[in-house]
Amino acid sequence: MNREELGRAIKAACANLDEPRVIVLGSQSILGSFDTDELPPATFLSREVDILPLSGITDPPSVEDKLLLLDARLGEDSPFHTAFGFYVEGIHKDVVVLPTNWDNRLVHFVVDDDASSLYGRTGLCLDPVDLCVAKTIAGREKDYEFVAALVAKQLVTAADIQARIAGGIDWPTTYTEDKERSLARAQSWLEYLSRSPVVQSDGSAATPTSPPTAGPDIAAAFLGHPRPIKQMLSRRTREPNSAGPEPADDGPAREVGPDLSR
Amino acid sequence: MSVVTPKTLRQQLVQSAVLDKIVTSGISIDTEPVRRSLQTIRRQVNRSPLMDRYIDRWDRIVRDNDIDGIRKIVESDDDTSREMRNLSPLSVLLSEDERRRVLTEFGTRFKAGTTR
Repeated sequence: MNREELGRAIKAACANLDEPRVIVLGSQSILGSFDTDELPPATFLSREVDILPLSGITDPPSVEDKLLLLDARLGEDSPFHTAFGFYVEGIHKDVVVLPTNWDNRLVHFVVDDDASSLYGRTGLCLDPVDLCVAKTIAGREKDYEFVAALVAKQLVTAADIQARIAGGIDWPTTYTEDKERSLARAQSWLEYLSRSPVVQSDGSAATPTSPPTAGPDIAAAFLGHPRPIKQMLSRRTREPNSAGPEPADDGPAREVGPDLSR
Repeated sequence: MSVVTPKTLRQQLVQSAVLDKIVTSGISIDTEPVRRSLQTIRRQVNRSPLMDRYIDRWDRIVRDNDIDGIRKIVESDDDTSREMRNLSPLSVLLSEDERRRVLTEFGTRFKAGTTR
């Protein structure tokens, strides 16, 4: 997925939800902060964009119908998916574990919308470190691969993620797992990651799921020249496709499928 | 992870509907649309050994018309089966009407609060 496709997903979701802003919660929220030429492939090769209507935060009872609407019109195997090769996954906030105050760090990905000057379409993307916290606590192998690739590319550091976790976690009320155990597992993996990354030639990283084998020279190389978090966050608001004009929104946003919310 | 998310449920319902259709109509899964779908998925996902393993497994299932293999993926609830359902190329075997029917069932369960 690239930023143009993220922009298309945001526009289509906003149009179908009749909302000016949505929250991008999953892995592809990384595209709100970095372009694909800055990212390791492991982080942007995806078939889906996880989107929460902003009203899911401001008016929680309405969100279920809206998530179902996204599934029907823009979701997996929908005509939108067939047309563009990626789909929108409407997700509930409660399935994501994020650090405290994540909503104050959202990265505004503004998408031009010629159709309406009233609605600017904006995807509120997770801050990269917050995203890595969510991935690390989720703790699936593919989540570790994602975080390890960003760390290997020096776009975030394990220390940043650890510090963010230490600042507190906004646990969903529906979280059923042992929180202390989840935190301990996350911290343990981050400790290991900070000591033993193995940087690949393509900038990705081997997921450290076994005891470290990398020598001190590799660890030293990895720990050198970390990208300061302030530098990264100073790029919080970025226009998509800055190198060229935004393509017209000719996607089948409103035209595809009946409105299941009615 | 043992949490049943809406996505997990929806993909299980979709793949279950696909399996029902394959079994009741006796259609082959080793078809051009399915192979094309698998190629698209392979191109779109992270080129990691983990994803390659999943996609290669789907490749074998399609090539061997392995109905029992599909049944195991549909009925199991471990992380690997969830990821296999997430990467399934078989949804193309459902028509849009059939997909909508599955979504209607999913919506009913979703609103009943069986998932979060």
